[in-house]
Amino acid sequence: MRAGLVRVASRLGWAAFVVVVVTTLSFLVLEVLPGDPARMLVGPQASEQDAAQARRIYGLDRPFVERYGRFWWRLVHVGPKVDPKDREHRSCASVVGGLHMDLGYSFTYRKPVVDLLAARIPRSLELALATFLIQALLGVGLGVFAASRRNTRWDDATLGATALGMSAPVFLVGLLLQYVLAYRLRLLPYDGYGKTAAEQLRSLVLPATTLGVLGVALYARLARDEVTAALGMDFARTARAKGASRARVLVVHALRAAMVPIVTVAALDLGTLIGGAIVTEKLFRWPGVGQMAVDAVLHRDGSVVLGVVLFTSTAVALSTVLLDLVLPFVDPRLSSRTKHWKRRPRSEP
Amino acid sequence: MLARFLRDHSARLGLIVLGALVVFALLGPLVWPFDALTSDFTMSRDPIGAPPGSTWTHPLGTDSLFRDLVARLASGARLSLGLASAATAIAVALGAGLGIGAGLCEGGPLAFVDGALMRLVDALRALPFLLFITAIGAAVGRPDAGTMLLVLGLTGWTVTARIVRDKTLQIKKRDFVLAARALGGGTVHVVRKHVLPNLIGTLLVVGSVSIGQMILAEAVLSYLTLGTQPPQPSWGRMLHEAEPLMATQLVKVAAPGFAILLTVLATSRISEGLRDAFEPRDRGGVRGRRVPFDLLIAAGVLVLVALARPPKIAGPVGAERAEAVPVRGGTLRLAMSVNPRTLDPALAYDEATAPIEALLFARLATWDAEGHVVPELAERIDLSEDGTIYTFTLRQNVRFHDGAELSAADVVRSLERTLHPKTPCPAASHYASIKGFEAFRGGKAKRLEGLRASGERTVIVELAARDATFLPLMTLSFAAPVCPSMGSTVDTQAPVTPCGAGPFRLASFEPESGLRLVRHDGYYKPGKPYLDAIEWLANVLPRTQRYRFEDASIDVLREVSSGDSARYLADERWSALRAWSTKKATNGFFLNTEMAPFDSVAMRRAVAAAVDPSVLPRVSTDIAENDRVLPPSVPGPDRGRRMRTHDLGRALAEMARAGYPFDPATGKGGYPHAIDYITVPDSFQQQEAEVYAQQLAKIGIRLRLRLVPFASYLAEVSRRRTTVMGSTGWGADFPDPSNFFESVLSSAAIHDEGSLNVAFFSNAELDRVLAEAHTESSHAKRMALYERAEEIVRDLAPWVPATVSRSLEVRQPYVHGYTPHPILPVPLADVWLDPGGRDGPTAARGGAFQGRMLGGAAMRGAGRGVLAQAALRAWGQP
Repeated sequence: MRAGLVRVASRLGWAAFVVVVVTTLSFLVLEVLPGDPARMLVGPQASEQDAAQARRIYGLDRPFVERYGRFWWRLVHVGPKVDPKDREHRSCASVVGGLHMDLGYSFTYRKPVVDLLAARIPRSLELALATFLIQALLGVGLGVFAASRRNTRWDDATLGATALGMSAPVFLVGLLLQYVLAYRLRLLPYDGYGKTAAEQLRSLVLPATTLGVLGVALYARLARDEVTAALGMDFARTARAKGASRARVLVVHALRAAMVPIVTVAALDLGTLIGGAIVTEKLFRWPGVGQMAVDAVLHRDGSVVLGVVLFTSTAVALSTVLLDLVLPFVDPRLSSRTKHWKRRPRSEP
Repeated sequence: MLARFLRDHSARLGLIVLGALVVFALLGPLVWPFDALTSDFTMSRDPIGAPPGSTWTHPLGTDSLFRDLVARLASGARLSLGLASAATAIAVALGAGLGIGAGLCEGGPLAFVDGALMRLVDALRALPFLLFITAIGAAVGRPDAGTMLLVLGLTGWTVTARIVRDKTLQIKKRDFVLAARALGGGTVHVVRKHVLPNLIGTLLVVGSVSIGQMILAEAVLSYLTLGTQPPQPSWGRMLHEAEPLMATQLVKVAAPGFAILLTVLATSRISEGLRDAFEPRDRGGVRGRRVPFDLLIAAGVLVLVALARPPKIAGPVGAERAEAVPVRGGTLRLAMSVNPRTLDPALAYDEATAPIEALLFARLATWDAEGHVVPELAERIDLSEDGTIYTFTLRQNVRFHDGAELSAADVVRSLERTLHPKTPCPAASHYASIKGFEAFRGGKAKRLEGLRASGERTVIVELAARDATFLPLMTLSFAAPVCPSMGSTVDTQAPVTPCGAGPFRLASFEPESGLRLVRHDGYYKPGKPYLDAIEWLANVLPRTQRYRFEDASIDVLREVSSGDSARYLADERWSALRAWSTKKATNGFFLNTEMAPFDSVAMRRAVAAAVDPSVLPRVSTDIAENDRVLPPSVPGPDRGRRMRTHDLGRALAEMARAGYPFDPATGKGGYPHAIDYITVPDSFQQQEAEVYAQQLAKIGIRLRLRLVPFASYLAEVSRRRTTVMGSTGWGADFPDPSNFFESVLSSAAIHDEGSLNVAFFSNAELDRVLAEAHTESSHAKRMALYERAEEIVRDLAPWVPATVSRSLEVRQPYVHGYTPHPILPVPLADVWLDPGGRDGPTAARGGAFQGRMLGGAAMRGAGRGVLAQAALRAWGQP
């Protein structure tokens, strides 16, 4: 138990390290990227004098080290109750008690970055989870189905469908779904994020499906391949010989054995999905993190970019920690607690 | 093993298809009579206003630049197939190698290798792709296939590595591996005989998924300016480029999509066959000769799409009632594709917010339809004899949105708020002619000396020198009076609610989603505005704006995409309901006069005479040719005389004068080096550049497009001695010729960084003419001076102005009084809705919907195939 905790703690430590490295790299990249944030704020037609004055007023002319240091120094700090009048802490969000979180202020959105993220992260999580569910259920379902009907017409049809999913770019899938389901058939709203829970659920369908198409195809192919392989193994044959039903062998024995790559891909996917979807969010006006990140990069809005990077890299890093924790349950052989193979070979349970 | 593979019918079919694609890629460009990179503007546009459609000679029609699509498909095949297979090979090989390595090291003395590799995977996946791709693009400068391969290969391996590692862990603890170990098998033996064979299935799946993704990723990279540079086509980019044509010529999207699909189908068949060949033990069933349904269905869909007729654009909802009279009430619903970020009149400086600012903030002066400045909130504007003192007498009873009455002090406070040293106003320097500006803006004076209130209703502005542009400046939102609640300074970190004296006040504003304006009951014009409210959706793509307009959930379509505007123009049901709104902007390109080869006037003249923008209106209906710096929508000198003309003979003569004679017959001579043309991807400017490149090739100048993101573009063109040539343009801050010339072509606009004079053009005569015109009070004399300025620009060609753009606006028949103004945004205070005209449509809408459903059912009864039915329904057939 203790060993387990230590392991989790060390994994979390590494995750934090990855996040710091990625954020620092992003800071550096933003620094060297051609493009002037002040120019993006005042617009392409402002004169150089006006741009220079804006640069001073926004504080964009401060040296790199100062801004970098301030970013980490302010990230989590102790402060009084957040009050918009308090110039020192007005871009903060109060976490617990006197603990503040500050990611700076976005001059393009004219809002504190913590507020921007707080509004968008739940939307991105929603979309990510819905997509994840569609991918996992539909994808794995299709894959198992195809594997159970290996080398039949149904198998071919599944392969064809997945190929279609793999060769269509997201924007095309989204536009077609929108055209058919929202414009022609009027079953779903065009875009946006509804006001009531029912509306929100309805407006989630198109973006989640659009985003899930590639995943469904990939999971279906992986599941089909792995399940087929597992069905050919001794334990499946033994189970079948012992009188287990076809379905039981398929789902309980073969699918379980086939889960490792699927869980791996799924966990990694989840991390990426949470980080926001760019095209899908744009197409369906989904108020998530992805669209904001793109705009921020295009406008050289450094504080928003860093806020998003901090969030997405944390999501990605945590998704691998999660994966490492989950995998031993999927297949106990993957637990590092089992002794090393070179030293003490032992037979399968 | 190979024999077994070749006996597999399915795999053989895959090989044949892939082989055919490769042959198409290799031989297509050699055999096909048309060239992938050459536009043929002699062809006529499709009757629906799209680029040429399918004909016998051009089976797929052409792209929007009139280049044959079959030729482009073949040319793109080389790039897409080659790049995708190479990138997949790199990614899968790297992923497999590192994954197996990590998996074997795990748990042993080398466990740290596993840890390090997996953290590297984490870090690579956590890197913000967009940011780093942009950075690599900027660092590389001119990306080529090698760069793309590197990026795709090096970013593509991470997930594979992780899957392979986990599977390796699983495999290495299986009985047979442990047995092999116990029998003394070495690591190499175990990997070769046990690990790899068990991994091969997974790797093949990953690989075959990856091929399609890599083809598509190339297009994304290219959008992020790290892919192939146009005009070289690729399948992925062809898909993106055809997107605007989706509604009218779906086959142009379907063709490259089908090519990618074929590739994916073929590779997945091959990988299936390989897998079976490698893993004989799970030969579940025998792969018999079955009909290849997937290929047949895909081909069938393509044929259907090619034959289907495009849906007609929906007609108006209801009809215009001539007898209707203006009434109060109703909500006008509009949409825009951008996100307004701030509505503070001291800060907002973009095209998107201008129409909103116009509704919120009334100004002291405004424009009439003839292009004269007329008083608005001021009742009278007087100018002193020497032309330096303006006296504004305010109207009585002008009320702000908060009910307070407008006073002279408010006008002074509002302008000082905009010009305050702590306000990052993007246009402050325009007001530099007000006496005491420097001292106030620089923070040295507490008050703006030349600006004062005299009594309740008189504002006096004293200028340091005569300035013909001062009155136009008072029509801008920067000078609009704002409520006392907006304060006398702008705090950049504490936005305040916009509040002015315009016809509407802001009720709610949610960036990214939209805003709602309601009628200002205290508006100074009696009876106006008619509307109760305006709902303005933000961030809506033009395509979905049209969907909404068609079912009348928005009332005016203000952003018609270029493809759709051709359709609205071709449809007579809309003839009375559509109007052009012109942009007060001019577009073209610059030639950097400080850098070779354009430090030579002859070279610049050659280029200016060789380009022929008259073909560009064929590329987009929203474009008109323009032969001078000033766009026709800005009041300026008489445009009777043509300025720039296209003359190939003169261009060749100038080339010879510059020392680079070119013989068009032999193609010998010309300028020996390629010239970089900087522009922004996925824009009309890019298309324009591709056309110029073809036209300049005729006088021996080779252009190379360099596509960079907008922010980089701005930074690069404005830096001295950095860019030789590229897109440029100017939109009027205020509609006066001085704004165009002084801002971008005068010596004063040159800076080492942040120069708006991107041609770095310095000409003493032009500077003198402009200075004279700036203070000249006679309109006729001013215009004569600007005519001279146009001539100087034409003769010395630092800028080649080429086009102006306009946009179509379409309204539903129940919207009345929606008349575009030649200078101002559409005055929505004059708009009213006919309640009789609007109630009808809702019912009609329901009816149309039911009719469509019934139509679907009827068609089903006719017994067409499921797929045909779905395709037809989606495509708008009955």
